[in-house]
Amino acid sequence: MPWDPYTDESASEPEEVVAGSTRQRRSVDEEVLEYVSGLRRYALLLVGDPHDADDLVQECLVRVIAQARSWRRVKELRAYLFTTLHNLFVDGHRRRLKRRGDVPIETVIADLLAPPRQQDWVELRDLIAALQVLPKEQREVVLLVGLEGLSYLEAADVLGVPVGTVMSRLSRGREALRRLTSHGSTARLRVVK
Amino acid sequence: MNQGGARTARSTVDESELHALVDGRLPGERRAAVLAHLLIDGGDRERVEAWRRQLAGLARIRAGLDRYAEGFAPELQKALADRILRVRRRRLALRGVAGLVAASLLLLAGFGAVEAWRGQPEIRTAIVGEPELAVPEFPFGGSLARTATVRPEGDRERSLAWLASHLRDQTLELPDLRGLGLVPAGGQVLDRGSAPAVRLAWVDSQGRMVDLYVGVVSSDAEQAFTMVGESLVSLHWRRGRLVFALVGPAESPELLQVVQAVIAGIGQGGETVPAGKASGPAPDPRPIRAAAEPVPSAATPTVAPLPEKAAPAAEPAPANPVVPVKVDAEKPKSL
Repeated sequence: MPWDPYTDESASEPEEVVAGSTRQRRSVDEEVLEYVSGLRRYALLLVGDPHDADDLVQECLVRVIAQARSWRRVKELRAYLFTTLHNLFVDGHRRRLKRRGDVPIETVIADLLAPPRQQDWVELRDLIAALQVLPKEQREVVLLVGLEGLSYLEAADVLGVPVGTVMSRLSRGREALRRLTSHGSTARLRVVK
Repeated sequence: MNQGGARTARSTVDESELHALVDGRLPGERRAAVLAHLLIDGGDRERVEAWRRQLAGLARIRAGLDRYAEGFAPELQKALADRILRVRRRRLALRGVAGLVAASLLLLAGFGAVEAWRGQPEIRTAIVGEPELAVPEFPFGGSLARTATVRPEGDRERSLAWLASHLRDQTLELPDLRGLGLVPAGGQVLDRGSAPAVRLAWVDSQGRMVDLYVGVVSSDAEQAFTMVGESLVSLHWRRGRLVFALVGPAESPELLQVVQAVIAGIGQGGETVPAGKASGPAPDPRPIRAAAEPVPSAATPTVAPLPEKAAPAAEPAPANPVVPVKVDAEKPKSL
């Protein structure tokens, strides 16, 4: 059963939100912030726009930190954070994230990546472009498992779906990526500036 | 997927296990069966290798994005802190609780702490050997220890040349596995089996060893694969008069690529070691070992000195001809 990141238990025990010692609260914030880099990386490839990605991460952190009371009892904070991000992402899709959309994601990421070798970069660019073609449900699973190293069970918790659904999405996603990045398909994905 | 093979484990290998293999999450007891299936089912092998390339690509993207992902821009930090401040202030106003500013300041301090928290991943350099690995007897001489020693790099060529001398019309070539991240660790002649055989060793960047045993048998046979072990896996096959056994970490799907590289490389292309190049007197069966190495037990394969390229029997052995590689024999499962 996935956690509900929006459950604010602090409402019934307001003093606990801020009643912790300085040391306690510092560790709480640090604990969340340890996962910021993973959230940003995941959000960037999930959303495909660094501004939207940072908005998503920011919103996620605000919700989680502001509702610290509810997640202090969470055993796996990383999964909890990704769950929150997932819910915001799904909600954002419903509200249609304000996509800039004028610059291809592979070009954006090219500016963010440490300079790879040229041959590497061609492959990576194709992979990044192919990821954006995947349905978001498949993209989420491929990234959670392949990029962030979550277990299938963790991914299922994050997404709020059974493990079997994670496996089927993973399979379809990887097969789609295989087709998209195979010889002859990559040219279709490449963006010529 | 291969639907046929009575000799494969196909019927018991499902799609989720292929993914679990790629993701390193397949339980040890199933690895051998899935690897065996992949060695025979080319379609599934191609898919698994494509998924592995995807994972490798994602890992490179992840590494390339480190600087981006870890650097929260100052303005973003401030915006985040301001937003958290506002949220908490609103709640505090409702609840009449003070102390929010300090919490937000500590949040900002947390960003600095994150920087300090980050560290370089520890790179394992130790080679962890499994004291003994059961290998089918034919033709390598029964249970072979993953010996604590491998011979220097140059002995790979001489070992293979010695083996090639037992072939009349075939050359042997050292497979080039550098593309798979494997660097040569040495080679040795095995003289306890029923046929001429050699062992060639490589190590990966984590110090995990991959051994290739190659022997010459007297008659042709169909290619066949068998596998044993859990933490280590031994893949066996025959091709013409050559019989092979590859031993490496079971959790590593790269072994399949090693097999393919060996099959593609040892009989064609690459460095050629012609048959008869090392012909001459049979190797001295006297074991060569480092001074600190214990005397080999019955389970330790005898390591025969190799004939030198130019003068097989005349040159003395080098002062330190053996490279000790085994570091921790008490953790064989960590391979």
